[in-house]
Amino acid sequence: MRVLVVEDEKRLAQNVADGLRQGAGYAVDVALNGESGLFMAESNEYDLVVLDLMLPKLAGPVLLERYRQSGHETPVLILTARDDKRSIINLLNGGADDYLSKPFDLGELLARAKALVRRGKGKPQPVFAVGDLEINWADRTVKRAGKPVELVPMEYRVLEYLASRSRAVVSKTELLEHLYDYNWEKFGNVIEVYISGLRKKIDSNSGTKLIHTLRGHGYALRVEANAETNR
Amino acid sequence: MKNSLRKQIIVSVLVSQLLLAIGLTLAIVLYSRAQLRSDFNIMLEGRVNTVLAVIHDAEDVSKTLVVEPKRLNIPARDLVEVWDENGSLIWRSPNWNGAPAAVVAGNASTFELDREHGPYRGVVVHKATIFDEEDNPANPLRKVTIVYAASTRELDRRILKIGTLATGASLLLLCLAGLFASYGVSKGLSPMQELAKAAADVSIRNWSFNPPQEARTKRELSPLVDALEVTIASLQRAFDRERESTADAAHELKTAVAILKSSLQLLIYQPRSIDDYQKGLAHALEDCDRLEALVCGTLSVARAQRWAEEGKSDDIQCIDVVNSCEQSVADLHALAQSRSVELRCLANNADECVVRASPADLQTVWVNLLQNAIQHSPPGSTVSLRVSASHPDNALIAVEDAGTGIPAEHLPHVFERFHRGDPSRSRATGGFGLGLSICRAIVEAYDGRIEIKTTDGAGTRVFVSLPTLTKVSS
Repeated sequence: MRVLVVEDEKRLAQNVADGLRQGAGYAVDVALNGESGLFMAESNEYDLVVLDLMLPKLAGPVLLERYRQSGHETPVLILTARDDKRSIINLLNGGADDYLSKPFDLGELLARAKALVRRGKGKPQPVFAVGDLEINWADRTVKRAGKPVELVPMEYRVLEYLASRSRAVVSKTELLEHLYDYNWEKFGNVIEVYISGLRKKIDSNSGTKLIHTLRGHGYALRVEANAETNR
Repeated sequence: MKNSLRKQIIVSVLVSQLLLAIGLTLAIVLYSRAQLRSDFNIMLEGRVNTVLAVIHDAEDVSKTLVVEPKRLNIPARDLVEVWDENGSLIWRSPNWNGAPAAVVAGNASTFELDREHGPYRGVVVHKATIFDEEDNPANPLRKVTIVYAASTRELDRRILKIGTLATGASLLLLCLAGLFASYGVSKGLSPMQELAKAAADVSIRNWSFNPPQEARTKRELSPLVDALEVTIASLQRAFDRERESTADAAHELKTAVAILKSSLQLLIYQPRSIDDYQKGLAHALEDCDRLEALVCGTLSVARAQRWAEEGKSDDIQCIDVVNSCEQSVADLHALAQSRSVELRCLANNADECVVRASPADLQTVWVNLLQNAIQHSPPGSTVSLRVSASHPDNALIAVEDAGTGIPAEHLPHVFERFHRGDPSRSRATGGFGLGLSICRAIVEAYDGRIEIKTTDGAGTRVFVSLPTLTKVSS
């Protein structure tokens, strides 16, 4: 998952970004003013936008309005130091999905961020199951047939994203787009490495294959009646 | 109990009208009385003439005068005496036993009498009767004295009647005037009551002040309406400014706390190496310093503003402005060097610039202004601080930079608390938008003035003028 944090207070932006990276395993981009925030939000595919209200160059509410006007459906979490009810109501009515008042609890921010991402993907359950594979979004654990599976963080992120896309075929480009932040050089074969790692840990000890490769198209996480045909 | 203005006005109107009515009634009564009395006197004279007409001389030799009562046509109650020139009584009306001797002998022409029928008023007339010269060739003129008195009861009754009528009419008019005054005063005062109501409706939730249109057109009330409007508008502005500034302060504090809190929470989110903990704690400490700087800055603005209001400060000394400026320039030398900015202090004819102030306060002003200038200066440019004695009793300090200047839309707000011309840049340099507010509060606390002038793209100049001591007292 990839998150954009738009916050002009550099230290706070850094802390929020670090929290999301370490606590939720998200790829995080940071924008320090409204203008670059809107530009980044519109030019990349994000799974969540964390938005401060008092921003230089372009105020948070304006950014939100333009973002929604251009048709983006990504959940937006507002960070505000002013908790007057009227502006909060206006923001929620204007397309925001949730808000947090400063100073906030980092744990709460992470929980809300995860919940917003989950709902944004149409997954209200905190545990997502594909066949006998269980992915717990909250504490980022994976079980296959009831047994815990140890994944490196990047493997988990690939699996989580595949699961969030609901059995659809996810291209390598989409995975790269959603799993790496702005500062990474994106190499397609990195994804192949993680997919093969995931296969080993999830599929090798089981009769049913869940991770499928569709050559030239991408990957899918699903239970298929005839697994052999797509191999 | 409160005094009613309405009651007061009505009472004073009625009292003045009552006095007027009493005066008028008295005048009417006195005038009528005088008129009636003179009429009465004329009537008496007429009757005297009637008496005179019935006097004639007797047929006897002595030619004594006689009165023929049968021919006399006067009211029966009237009193008459007729005396001849020798002082002997010719005739007296039968209902009288004689006028007082003093009346007859004296020179009084009128007299008053009290009889059982009431008061009488009389006249004494010395007149000559003319007789036929042929009958009495020796003395055709025979002098007689006629004393005549008539009852004044009728006169008094008429005077009383006029008095009663006048008093009654006055009282009636007074009542009507009272009603009219009450109505007029109530109507006249109603715009004032509405104005008071409109003023009472103003509150911190509702600042709209709608004075009645009638109050605006009244010459006595329109200054009050204007004054109220100005006062309420300025109160609202001050209140809004204060609220905004409080909200800004809260915003800054919450943000600073949010940074510190998130730093610490991030640190304890998962186990880390000692090295990471140390780094994290150092970061948190920096956040703490920031919070402290914010709190101190907010407090120093508040303190300087309180001084400006209460007019006191501690540690007041006589300070040489040039010295103070040079010291600040020296303090900021390192900062200027790190940003490759040249810092200059120029004194021009400023040997006598001595002000009374707290040295720390002045340093705060210079350091804040110079820091701002350095932060907004491009590398390689110069920031200069000029001190001059602009007027005999004023020191003028100008801080100039060659930075990008301040956009015109920000210029009116630069002295407001927490205002940031370009937030991203100010935050990057650690400012809260308090520096210029602190400067202004301090300068104004010492009765000085601070101004800012800017040319877009060609630098900013801040002018501070402070009152100096005269040479004698320094």
